[in-house]
Amino acid sequence: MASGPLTGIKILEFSQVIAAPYAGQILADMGADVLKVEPPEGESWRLQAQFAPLESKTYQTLNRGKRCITLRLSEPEAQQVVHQLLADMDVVLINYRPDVPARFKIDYETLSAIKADLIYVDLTAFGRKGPWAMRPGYDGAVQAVSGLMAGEGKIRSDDGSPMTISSTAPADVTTGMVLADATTTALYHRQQTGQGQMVQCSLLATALNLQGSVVMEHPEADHAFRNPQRDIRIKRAEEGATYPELIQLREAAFQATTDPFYRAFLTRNGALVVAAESDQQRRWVCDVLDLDESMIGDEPRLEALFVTRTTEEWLEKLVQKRVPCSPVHFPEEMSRHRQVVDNQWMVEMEHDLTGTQRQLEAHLRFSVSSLESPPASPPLGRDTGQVLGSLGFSDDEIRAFAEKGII
Amino acid sequence: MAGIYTGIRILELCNDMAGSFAGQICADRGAEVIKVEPIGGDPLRSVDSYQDNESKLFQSLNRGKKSICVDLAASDPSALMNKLVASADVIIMGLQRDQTTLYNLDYESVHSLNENVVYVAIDYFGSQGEWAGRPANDLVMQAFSGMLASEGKRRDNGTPRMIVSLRMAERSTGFLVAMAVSTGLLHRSRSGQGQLIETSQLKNLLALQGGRISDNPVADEPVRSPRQEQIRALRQRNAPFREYLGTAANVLFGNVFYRPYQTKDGAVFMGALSRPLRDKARKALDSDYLHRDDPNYDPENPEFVAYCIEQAKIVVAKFRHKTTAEWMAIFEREGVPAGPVLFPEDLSTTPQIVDNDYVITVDHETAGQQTQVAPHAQFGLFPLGQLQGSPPLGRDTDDCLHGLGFTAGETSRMRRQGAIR
Repeated sequence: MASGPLTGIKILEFSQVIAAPYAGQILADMGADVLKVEPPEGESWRLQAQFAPLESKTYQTLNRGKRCITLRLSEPEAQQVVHQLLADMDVVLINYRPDVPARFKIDYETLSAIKADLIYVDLTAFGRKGPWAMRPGYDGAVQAVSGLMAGEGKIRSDDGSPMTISSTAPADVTTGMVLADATTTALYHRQQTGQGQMVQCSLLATALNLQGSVVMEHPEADHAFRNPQRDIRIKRAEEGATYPELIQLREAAFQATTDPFYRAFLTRNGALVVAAESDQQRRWVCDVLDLDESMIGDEPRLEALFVTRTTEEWLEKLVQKRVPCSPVHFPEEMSRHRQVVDNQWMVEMEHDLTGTQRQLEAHLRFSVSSLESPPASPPLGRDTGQVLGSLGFSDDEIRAFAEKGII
Repeated sequence: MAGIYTGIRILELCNDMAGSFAGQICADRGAEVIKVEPIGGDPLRSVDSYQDNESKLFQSLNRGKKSICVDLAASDPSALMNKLVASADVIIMGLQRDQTTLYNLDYESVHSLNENVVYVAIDYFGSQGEWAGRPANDLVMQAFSGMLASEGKRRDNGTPRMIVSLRMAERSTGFLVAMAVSTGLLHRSRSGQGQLIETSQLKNLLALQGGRISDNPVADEPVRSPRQEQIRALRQRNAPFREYLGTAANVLFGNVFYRPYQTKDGAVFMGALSRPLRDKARKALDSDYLHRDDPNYDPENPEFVAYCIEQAKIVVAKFRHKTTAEWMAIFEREGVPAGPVLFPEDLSTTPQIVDNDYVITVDHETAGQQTQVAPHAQFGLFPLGQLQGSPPLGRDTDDCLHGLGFTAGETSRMRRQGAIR
């Protein structure tokens, strides 16, 4: 069936919404056999924006290539099924609040007692310690707490509230990659030593890693500017400044030196980005615009120039000079964009219930352990009967489970 | 530091953040990461530098590595690079393909010297198509991938403004390259084979937008397909940018259940994505506003939409009457997912972050102690030890050359010729 570097690896996934499902999909793309456990009514992302019963597009783009079994984890019989399944598993991928797994007897201590070399990849919102460990959290809450939201500084024009970063769910989707990376790294360690282990990840830790140097502190580097600016903001907040005022203050301080050659411009027929990073590249931009270098920094002049020609005309000149640049695209036009087509990044797949769809192929391309095109996501509970049967449950027993609402 | 990658040698060649970040993740896991820098140093060393060749940006991406300085274009670096390449388990290659070919560092050349190497190539636009090989950076990736347009930050005249809080393309590609390294090593450990693993920043950003990129005719029929048609038509008639805006359906009208709010003294985010959570949120807000849970919910009905917008205004006003701490106490009591809006400069003292060891102290040789963000995954068998800071420029050139068998005389001759620093 599957091919790829993770062929033969079996993963049991307890997941909902974005991050952990996405991790499971990345691993399935690389050949792992991923069995997703859902509650009998389906996980919440199936139910969000359904276009067919129990099927949503977001679910389908985060769960392809998996098998799906339904289990009511609060029931001891369901827990017994999990423990029986475990014998055959290499990895458990799980996202619950820290207190929940023990209630369902799927915590690391319980499961590693059954299978000593188990790899248990654990995701929480805010980490397993600290005052907020037990708080539920979504991407938006983590954007707020991690500094991403204030750092981005988006403000609603009507009521002054902050806005989330919305072009994607940044903490969620990147945590999907983080969990997949944690899994393959722990698998490598087990391959070398035979040892399993628990790996802890959180949306908050990912969000901090996305910001890196913005969060980093260093007295020598910070004393001239970062610290005084921070102190001014804190003082203004104490004096009663509103959130939009504080954001304005921070932006004026940290983004006052915006580079006029590292931004988007309107053109005659759209918009483009010029992203010159070196003095050399800035000079080339001046050449393209037929501008004197003394005009660098005169942004209104640059804006007036760029709007006189089409995006394509400017790009041709900028590309020729090897200045980093790009047209401003919309997400909806990318699946048929020539660059995407030429790289053959879209793959077609057939969903059991909802027909043909096209998704982006796996993240990585391997020259040796090459990947097959992934199958679509499973309908809810498609594989329950088959999986229980493989554990030795009879048809009657499976029917009894269903009647009791356990599957 | 002892870790999962103890004994693994990784050669890192790149001049952007993605490769550096991936190299640092591997160094955090105990790999010997040799960063090959040009004579003038990685360009990130001089972004807002506060000492010669030292910037926070560079230091936050290169801790725990070795640095050697090699002029790849000099007359005779090949003896050195060939030996280095032959000694590596993994190569993180962030240089563009035309450069790797020029310096015999492309996969084929490297493979001929080192049959089992795991070689991770980072492209911007992929290996094919007219954009392949063109220079780029995070802003270019934002624009090309559609994220810049859909983020919706704009100047007064409608010009898109860049996403500034994170470099999504470069950071996420860093995570991806780290996964490619571990997966490549796993495969090598199981089969004995190394291989070429290709990544692309553009593909990565497209993947991270999920359903906004993929085509699903049934699901797309009401909103996405018409929008695609509209964009195609606008492109065809060379319409100005503003005509593309304000056309996306506002599906979020009056939604008070997943958004941030201004409070009396700051801002707070509240997010309730399921019916039970929204019921709790209503209790917390002392409101009976149903929105999506209303049996009469109808986004096509202007009266209903107007009613929702009015209700949302009432909720917004309510939030202004209490402080962030007061709201957090209420949300905690009711079990509603929420979080205060914190500023990046305040994080290192936030108890939740401190208690989980998400910030760590790192020692830098010349710059001293600094606070950095801890690795993103905590491995149970490898509690985090003391991590070393980033290397000063070229600190390890001599050591590495000595380790490869070059004599002191050969090393100083190469230095005189300007091939190394």
